[in-house]
Amino acid sequence: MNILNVIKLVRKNISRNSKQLLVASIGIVIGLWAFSLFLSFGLGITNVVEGEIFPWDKIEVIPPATNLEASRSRTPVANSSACDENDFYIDGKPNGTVNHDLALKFHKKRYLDNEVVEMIRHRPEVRTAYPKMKFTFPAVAEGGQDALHLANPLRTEIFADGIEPGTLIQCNEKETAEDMERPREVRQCDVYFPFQFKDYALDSDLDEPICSTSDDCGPGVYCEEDDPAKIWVFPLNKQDVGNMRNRYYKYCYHAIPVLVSTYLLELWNGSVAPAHGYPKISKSTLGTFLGLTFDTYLGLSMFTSKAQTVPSITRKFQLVGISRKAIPLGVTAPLSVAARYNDYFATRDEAGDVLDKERPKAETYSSIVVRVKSKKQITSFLAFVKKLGFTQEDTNAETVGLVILFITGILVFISFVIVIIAAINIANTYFMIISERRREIGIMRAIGANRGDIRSIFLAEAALLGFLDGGLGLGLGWLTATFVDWVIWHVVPEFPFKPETAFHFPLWLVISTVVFGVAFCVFGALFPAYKAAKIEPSEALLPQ
Amino acid sequence: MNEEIISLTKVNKYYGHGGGRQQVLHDLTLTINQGDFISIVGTSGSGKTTLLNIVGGLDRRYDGTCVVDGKQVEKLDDKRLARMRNETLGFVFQSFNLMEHLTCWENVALSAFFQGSNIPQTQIYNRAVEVLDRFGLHDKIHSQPANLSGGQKQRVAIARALYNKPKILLCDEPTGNLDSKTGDDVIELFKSLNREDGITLLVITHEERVSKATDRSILLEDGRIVSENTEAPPVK
Ligand SMILES: Nc1ncnc2c1ncn2[C@@H]1O[C@H](COP(=O)(O)OP(=O)(O)OP(=O)(O)O)[C@@H](O)[C@H]1O
Ligand SMILES: [Mg+2]
Repeated sequence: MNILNVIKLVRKNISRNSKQLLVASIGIVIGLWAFSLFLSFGLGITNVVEGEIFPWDKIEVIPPATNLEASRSRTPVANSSACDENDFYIDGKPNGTVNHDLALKFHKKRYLDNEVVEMIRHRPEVRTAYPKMKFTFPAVAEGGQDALHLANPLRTEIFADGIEPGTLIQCNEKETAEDMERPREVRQCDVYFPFQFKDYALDSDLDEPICSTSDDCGPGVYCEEDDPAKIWVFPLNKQDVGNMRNRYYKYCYHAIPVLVSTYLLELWNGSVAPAHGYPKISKSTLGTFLGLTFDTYLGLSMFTSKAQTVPSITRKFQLVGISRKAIPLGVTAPLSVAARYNDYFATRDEAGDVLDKERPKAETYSSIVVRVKSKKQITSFLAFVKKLGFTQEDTNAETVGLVILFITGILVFISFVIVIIAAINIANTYFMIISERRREIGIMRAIGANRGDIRSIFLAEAALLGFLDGGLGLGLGWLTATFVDWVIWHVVPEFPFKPETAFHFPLWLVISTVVFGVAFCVFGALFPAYKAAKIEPSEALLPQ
Repeated sequence: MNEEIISLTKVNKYYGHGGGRQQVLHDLTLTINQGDFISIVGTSGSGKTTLLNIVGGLDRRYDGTCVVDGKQVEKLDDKRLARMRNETLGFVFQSFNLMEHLTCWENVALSAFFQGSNIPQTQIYNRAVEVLDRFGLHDKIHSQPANLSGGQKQRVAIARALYNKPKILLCDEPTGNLDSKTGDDVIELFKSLNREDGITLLVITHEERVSKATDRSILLEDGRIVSENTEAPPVK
């Protein structure tokens, strides 16, 4: 049989019974429409959740909860590497898991230090790993009246942490311009030109000029009260702290660059801004929000009046970028800034003496953010984390993922039920068609068709029908998705993580929709086709 | 030309089961030579169509032996039997039995569809046109059967039967639905097929003018051959 001829014959057969088959196909088309729509919706939402809200590959390693009470037993990060290397690296090669696993036999780690970061970085599952250090003291931010056109500044308690500037993508002028044009999900820059994310206190030039107002200082530099924690010395000695309590002079300090998270941006645009009538931070207004400065009172809290053991510090924070790496609700500063202020605020007693048990607050990390290479490796990496004595920050990502999977599963199941019922309809229609075409079957047998030929003709016809139905269902599903996307964009008000598209039609979904269409129509026509093939030609040719 | 092409030996055919069982053919023995032009006559229900179905490999549920073109029909499997129908036999029916949704040439070419090998499209078309041409249907190649007269339809049906150059043409009342004028045309057509192409023809008929045109007339009565009338003049 010539394949082109088969298609031609089968096409003519379909168009002959087009009305009947159209009616019979409605169920299949609806089922496949639902299938492609629900599944693509599940995939689209999963993309948003795994890509933006809870990145699937992101694991935040944290110390065990018991650490809070545990007494300190590890050397601090700042100078830990030299002596530890002899303990752990037997053949002198710091990479390779064997040595790291050996290290585990000697120590259960209590704190996240540089050594742990290195061990994690050398794991085969790990793509990148970077440490974070939380501010372990309260802070209040105040400002924004210019950017938001308000009479009074906004005042809010803030959370903050620090990350290594080296782990960020700091974009130049050209990259910044390009990146701002991109949709939110695919933006790559963490820090936008002309800003820089770095700890200015680490610059060699440390003698800030004395000033009376910021005008004395120059662009990006502000006149502030003396910052006792401005210099990176570990630990600050008692006299230093004591001296800081007398503030006679003001100095020019560079604003401390901070990042906010894409999550916070979404929350602002989706909930805060619409609720309070503040402007949104969109593609076009992003530029005006970058560079925004606000006063931050380090060591002050709006909630408790409990005084810190050391005086508070006021510094300007400046927004320099929007990053996935930033703390979800709060601001992220350079790591050494966090370490310095933690040291200043949280590690000493009222007399300014350093308390040994508090030192990890300034010397070890609060978490290590790890991005694994593939989903499959998450389990083995988490086992390693557990062996190290650490746990993972619970993100609820798994629960949310399960819920999405469950709902998608139910909807897909429903669409399958529709398709199966529709396949029965197809079967009925074909039983009818076959009794209508009984004579034809007889003629075809008479001129040389064998049983297999008759079966093939009907199955090929059903396959073509299924192909058309699958295409139609898919097309309708895609149109519906486009329409729903349009509604989400143009009619539904802003909400956090409002996606550009809530649907995802990967090639496998397109193919499987059509394949299911073919499979179910063929399935429906299977019994009728066998029945047709079984008819004796002499009986098929009997006059009705 | 006296080679045996169809030979039935003690063929018995029953319909139904148990009490409703009815014998339609009784120990039927019959031999037909290559090149014969034979008519089968008999009253309605005498078993003519049943006999033709057995010879044509359309019905295999009988007792006895039926050999067609050297092959024992009851021993062929479904595929071989289908192949024999395709290559050796041609069928013409009273009610034409054309596929209404296909054009004339597609109807004629349909048997090419069931041939094993992959024949080029143009070759199939050319052969269909060749056969249609022969029966004066050149201008109907692309017509739908619904637009043809009865005589034209039957000629298309004959063209379809002849597409694969069969050795045997089996016809069940081919003139039954035609007026006498077109019926005569069909008879003439059969004569020429028999004489010029050497095709063996087996024609069931009620009409005397048809049986008169044949070399031999077999009279069936209640499933038995009552007489084989060879009075008709040998035309060869
Ligand atoms: N499929 C069948 N099932 C049961 N009985 C049948 C079947 N086909 C034919 N018969 C019976 O077999 C007998 C012979 O039928 P057949 O069709 O061969 O007769 P016929 O000579 O062709 O008659 P007609 O001239 O009317 O076409 C009839 O009594 C008929 O009722
Ligand atoms: Mg009959």
